[in-house]
Amino acid sequence: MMKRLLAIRWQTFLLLFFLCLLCGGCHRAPQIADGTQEEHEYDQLLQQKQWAKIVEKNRLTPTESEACYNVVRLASWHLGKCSRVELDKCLDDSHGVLGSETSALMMSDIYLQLGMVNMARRAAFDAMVAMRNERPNSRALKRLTEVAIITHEYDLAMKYIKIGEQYDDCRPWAKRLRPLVEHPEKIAEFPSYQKLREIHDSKKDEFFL
Amino acid sequence: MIARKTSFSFSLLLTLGVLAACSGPQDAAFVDALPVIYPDYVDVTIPVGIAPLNFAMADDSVTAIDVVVNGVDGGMLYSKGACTDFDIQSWHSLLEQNRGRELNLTVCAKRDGKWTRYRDFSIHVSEADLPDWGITYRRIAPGYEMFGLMGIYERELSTFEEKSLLDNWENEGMCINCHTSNRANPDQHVFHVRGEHGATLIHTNGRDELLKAVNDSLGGTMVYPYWHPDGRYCAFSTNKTSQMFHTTKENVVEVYDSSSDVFVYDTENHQIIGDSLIMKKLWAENCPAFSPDGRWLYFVTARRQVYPTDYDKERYSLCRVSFDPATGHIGQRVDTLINAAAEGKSVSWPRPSYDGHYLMYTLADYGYFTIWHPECDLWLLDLLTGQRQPLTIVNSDRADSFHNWSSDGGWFLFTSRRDDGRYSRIYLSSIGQDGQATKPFLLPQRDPKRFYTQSLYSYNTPDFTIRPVGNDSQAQIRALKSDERIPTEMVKN
Repeated sequence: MMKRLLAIRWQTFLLLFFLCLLCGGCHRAPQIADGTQEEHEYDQLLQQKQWAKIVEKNRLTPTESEACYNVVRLASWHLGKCSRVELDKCLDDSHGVLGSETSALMMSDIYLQLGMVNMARRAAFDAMVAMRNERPNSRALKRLTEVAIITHEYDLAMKYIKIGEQYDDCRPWAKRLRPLVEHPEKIAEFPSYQKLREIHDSKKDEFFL
Repeated sequence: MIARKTSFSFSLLLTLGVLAACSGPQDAAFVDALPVIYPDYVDVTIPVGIAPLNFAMADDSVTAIDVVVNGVDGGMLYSKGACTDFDIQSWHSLLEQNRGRELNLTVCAKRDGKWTRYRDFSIHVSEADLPDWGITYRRIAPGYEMFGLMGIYERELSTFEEKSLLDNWENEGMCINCHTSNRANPDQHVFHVRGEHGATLIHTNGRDELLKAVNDSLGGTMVYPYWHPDGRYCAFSTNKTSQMFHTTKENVVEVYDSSSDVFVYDTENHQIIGDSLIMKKLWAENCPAFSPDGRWLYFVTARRQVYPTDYDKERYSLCRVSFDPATGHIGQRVDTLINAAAEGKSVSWPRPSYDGHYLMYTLADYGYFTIWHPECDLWLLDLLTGQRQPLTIVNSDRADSFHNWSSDGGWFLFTSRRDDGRYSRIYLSSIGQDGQATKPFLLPQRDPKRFYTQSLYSYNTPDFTIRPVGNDSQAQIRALKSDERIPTEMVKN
């Protein structure tokens, strides 16, 4: 009797296991990968501004990802190993670079560091849609807010801040950026934004494909 | 004893709380100014059947509003809270009672614990009905290289009910293009799905047909459709589209075609009818639309430029060519109705009203992808007199585009980025006998301030629908996932 019960339990377990697999497969929301392991590693180094480590990492194992390679180019530029003109030339065709959430976030960081706020916004939009869920990506939403502040789009910046204030991981930056929208003159307290605004307001327009 | 004291204090607090909650704006200070509300429904004109126009104060420091709506011909509504929340049935009764008359609204707002009463304003209830059941649209989050959750939806205009017609939650991430019905009648509709399993889905004669996404002779896909009123034909453009980005300019993105043509698709024999007049090599024909009598095909055309450098020299003129529905033949001569190139402006998206009186179009400095052009405005061409004018009361200083007419031609809808410059929303307006438009109103929502603030989606190509679309989305998804596709045959006049 016991044996029989155990056998049924074993069969039930198997049945349930396969049912779970089946249901999991059926109800899985469509996802674009959030990025490869390599992209995550480069992204971390990019955020830490570890320029020498980035170049060294690529020297040891050349990256296959176009977005990661752009991080390498940016690092080389920071280290004085390539000129800004060379860097811009490499960046001006972004087709296929924004293939995942992480690659889009990396590209957004690169563009922002180089003063191309519109392009930083474009990549942030792509990062927002990459994961196909309703919850906004905190880093992408923050970037959209920053760009809206830099480009004087305060209605838009406030919209993003209000959305950000609803999420724990967004609340700190939303709190920090809200005064910049309520009192635009406070941008003077944020030299990096001030500088990007000056570049945006005065720089000659260029095309990126 | 302590317990009784606590109980008494609690009761007192509760009573005070209830009293405070019930306290009205009887002592409100009056300011002689209109309330700044969101959405801006001050002096708008609405049809009787529209859903309640709920609103809040635009100012976030306002904690409550108190609104009384009085109909000139009787009836009253009251709402109090962070946002109005009018009962749908009572709202409809009030509108029906005041057809062709005004609703007067008294608004009080509570800020820092004090009430302020504003100058009353009116909402005009149109004599004319909006005969259509609802609207359809595509909702999509901005994305340039990738696309996220998107879908085509229908929305009942008399309520806040929205239903997905097809979205890519269930469709394995396909990019679903815009849905186009025949003069607001969903019995015929078409949409295109991009990607590996792409297809053009034509719904006609009660069934779905999936056409091969690309016709090799055409060299491209069927992009911007417009149905012939008889339903046998559907005009399309085919476009080789590219995009480029500005590093600093306000128009963030430019969308342009390295080539485009217009053709007519015959649904009866799956033929693509081409003609050298609408498929010129050095010209970019685009945005086709049939006249309501089906005897003319409107389109826009521009001399092709060197891309991307001369993107801002591409200016489209409005043209038309005759069409014979009996034979499917395109005429021999093209008329230029607006020579936009000579005027230094660009015309796009011609949309004739279904009564044949007007043709609405968008006017921009260059190009045709006007949703990203802040200078883009809606214009109206009177087809009876040839006079044209901007729809000044409708236009904003941000992109206004993607318009369509109600089935009776009395109302129209369009998208605008006027809210925040980035996300397009749907607005509705009407045209009077004198050709003058009324102040547009934002598509109502139950809590519009919260809804539109929280939404990270844009609305594309809205259109009216005379009844629910009633598509079988599961069957359409199954068909899209299959490999069955009907090839199309290219024939030239």
